[in-house]
Amino acid sequence: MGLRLILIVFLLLLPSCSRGGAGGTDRVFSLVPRPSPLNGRLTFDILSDPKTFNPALAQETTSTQVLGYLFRGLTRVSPYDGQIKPDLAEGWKIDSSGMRVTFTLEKGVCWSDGTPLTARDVVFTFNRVYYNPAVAAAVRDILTVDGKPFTVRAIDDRTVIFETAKPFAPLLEELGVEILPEHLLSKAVDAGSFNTTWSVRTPPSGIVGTGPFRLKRYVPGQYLLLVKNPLYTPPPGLKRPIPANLPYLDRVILRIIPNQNSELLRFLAGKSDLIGVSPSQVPVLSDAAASRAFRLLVRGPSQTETFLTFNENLKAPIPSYKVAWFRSRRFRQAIAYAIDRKALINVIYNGLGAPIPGPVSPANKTFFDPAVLRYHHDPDRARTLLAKDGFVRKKGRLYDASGHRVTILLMTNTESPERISMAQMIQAMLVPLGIRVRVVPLQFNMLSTMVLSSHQWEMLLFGLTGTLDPHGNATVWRSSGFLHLWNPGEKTPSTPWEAQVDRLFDQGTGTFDVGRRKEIYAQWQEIATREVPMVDLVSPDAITAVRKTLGGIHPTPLGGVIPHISLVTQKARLVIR
Amino acid sequence: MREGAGTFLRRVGLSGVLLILLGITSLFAEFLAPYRYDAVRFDLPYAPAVWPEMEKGGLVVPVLALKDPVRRRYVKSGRTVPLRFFCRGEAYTMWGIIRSSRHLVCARSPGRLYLMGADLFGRDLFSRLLYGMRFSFLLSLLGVAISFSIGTVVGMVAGYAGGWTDRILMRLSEIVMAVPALYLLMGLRSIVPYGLSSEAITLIITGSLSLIGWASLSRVVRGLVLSLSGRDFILSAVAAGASPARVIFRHLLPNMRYYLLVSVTLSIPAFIVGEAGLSFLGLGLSEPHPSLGNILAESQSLETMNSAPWLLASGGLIVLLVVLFNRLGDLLREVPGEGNGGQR
Repeated sequence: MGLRLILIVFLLLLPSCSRGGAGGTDRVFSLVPRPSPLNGRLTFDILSDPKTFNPALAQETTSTQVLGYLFRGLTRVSPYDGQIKPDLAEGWKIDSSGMRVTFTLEKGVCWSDGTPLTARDVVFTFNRVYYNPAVAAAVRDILTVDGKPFTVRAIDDRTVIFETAKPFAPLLEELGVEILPEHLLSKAVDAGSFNTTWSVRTPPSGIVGTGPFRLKRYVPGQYLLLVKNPLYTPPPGLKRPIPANLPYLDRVILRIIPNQNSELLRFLAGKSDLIGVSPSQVPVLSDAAASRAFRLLVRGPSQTETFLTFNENLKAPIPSYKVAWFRSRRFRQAIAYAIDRKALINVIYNGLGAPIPGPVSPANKTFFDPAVLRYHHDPDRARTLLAKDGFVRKKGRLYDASGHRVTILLMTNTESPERISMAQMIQAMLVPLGIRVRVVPLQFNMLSTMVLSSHQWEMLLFGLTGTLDPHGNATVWRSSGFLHLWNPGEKTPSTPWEAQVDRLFDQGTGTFDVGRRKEIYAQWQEIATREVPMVDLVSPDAITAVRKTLGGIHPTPLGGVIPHISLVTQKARLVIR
Repeated sequence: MREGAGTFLRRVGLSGVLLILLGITSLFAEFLAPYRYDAVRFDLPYAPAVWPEMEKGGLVVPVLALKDPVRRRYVKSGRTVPLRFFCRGEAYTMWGIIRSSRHLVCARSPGRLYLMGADLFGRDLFSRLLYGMRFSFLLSLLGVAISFSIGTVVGMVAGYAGGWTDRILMRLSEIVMAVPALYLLMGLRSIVPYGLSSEAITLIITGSLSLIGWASLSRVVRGLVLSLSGRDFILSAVAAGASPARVIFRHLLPNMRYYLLVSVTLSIPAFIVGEAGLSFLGLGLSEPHPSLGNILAESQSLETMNSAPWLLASGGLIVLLVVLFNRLGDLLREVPGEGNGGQR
């Protein structure tokens, strides 16, 4: 009888998947204009609870997303073109050596408890928090040059000087990190309890920032309520379409809904105002767009880089002949040519996506190099490359020069069903070459242990989120980098091209001239696509569904559909008939 | 025991006949399925069913073209390919011995015969269901064989020997029954290393399902043995000096055969559903090998329900198999005077 339990569990699972289809298609939403677009309310869903309210400790996206509304940095990145704009700083001067940047803070900025923001807060944030070895700050690594921290000094209440050991071009982008209030946090730092300060159990009124909103209420597992920060000073240069105090919204409600299907149904029922949409959800949504009063905004390929990579580590605990295949450029190129990226896009992303040409996304117009070597689907070329490398095909099976059958374990993470489907397609695409692939989906933590510490893997299908400045790729591409996946933590580069990439990254960070930097990083992109240690695959289009009641929405190539949260308005009320 | 074909059919009823037909169909899956279970067509994701049409006196298969990749809408491109019978198609090795490439029907590429539609990778759902059904049959028969061997032996030994043997064996079976089945299966599955072949995983699933299936049976068998061993014919066999083995195998076992037969048919569905549940949770047979559970698992999202509702056919097939086996069990039980544990 014990097994009957499974039957019951099983039948319980069935209705949960059949519910969605009948979402009540007969309802029609209509819009009634509000007297004023100001003081509205924005509602959307997030997948999980925030883990902390401390910006220095936040790592996962939910926490950083919430804290992004509450805190600000010295600079911000324009979502339209990737240029660095002032935020808390009014402006900055870079001296001729390139090693010294002087920031002037904006006048009259206050913390949400009324205390004025001063240069002392900036110095405290860097010297006492981010560079404090006792603080588990995730951003410490990116705030260093060659492992050396920046020197941060205050000249007066509004002037801060940053000095770096070498000229460091990405400095301005990286100073977008959140500034913290000294008057509230210095005690915790002194007492050594900073790592537990501003946790999710802290009363909301105790979380004090400079952002457009402040935290009003947090009910774990249910919602977060953010309200307008009346003391907010908008960044210089932000154009206001309506002459009124920013932010225009009164309240932002983030509901915690730990299931994407439920989020979709809630959006369709009018219970949230905007939702990120995966391409496979588009058919469900596009039929309802008119009756449910929303728009689908397609912003072009997203910034996530999905790729295949190979274990090129000579010390890895896998057969050495396999490492030899993976270290061969021709073998990697053959795999790159064998993959039909158009089929991947059509099958997995409903045709809404684009092949990734290289490590820099084409949306990143400042740095993308159009001359990269592009891999199109060409199985004959793949076979030729393998034959040149000494591989032999017998009865549809591929053998290497020493007679080993080419079989590869392909690992990927179980969290994303799309990635598992992609792995299965790659498995099928390598069959015509005679390569047998076995797909092994593992949980993310287990997978990262196997890849980064035990090195017991062969081929990996994975994704990383790109950064705007190519310097952000240093952790992956520098031979000593922490995420140099194919051969992590090399003491010296094991191939000449890896040495060349190291040199290019050194030059790139030390040069301020944008044109010169573009040339340097173009060389890197050409090496990357010729050597293909990472076979880039496809990226889905970033799509957001937005209710028509919202104003201040513009799809941007680099930063979602909300160019600045404080400019969002609620123009109309939704009436459900 | 000898019966004519008519008696046999009357006894097993319509459900028995249907099950035998389904069994034979899945046994010859390689020949009957137009395609292999892993034959992909990435240009036809979630293609709808394509049936042969009559044209110029012959059957033809229309060629589909993907018109709208976003909504997966297809149109007939106007081209057709002839449908052929007993033709040469993809090569296969049936049951690991017979090499052939003959199929009952085929349609030449770019045409594709989809009797029940396609899945995400453009694989033929009909072919996959045939292979998946075979997997379910094999797994449940094997599993039932293992769990019944264990259950019967343990039950008889416990019932016949009595005393401490009885107590230990019965407490053991109670422990097995007390563990929540689903969690036990998930636990057993997770200690198995990754990257095993599908045959090994099949055996592991079967083994773990049988490992929890024997307990309830052994208790009932023990009860039967206890009630039978007080009967005169057993007592006289013992008095005549028969060895315990002889008593068990010649006198006890034959008197329980109808009960055992009925409970075999009734516990097969538990195995089918158990496999489906495991595969549904991603712990069973892994892609590209089909099983009824992992085909159903594909259809669990809102999007799939919208664009490929035919994948639910696998759930329908599971229900059908379970109902048929249960009905068969009921029919067997209803045969007068024989279904109640050897009352004669």
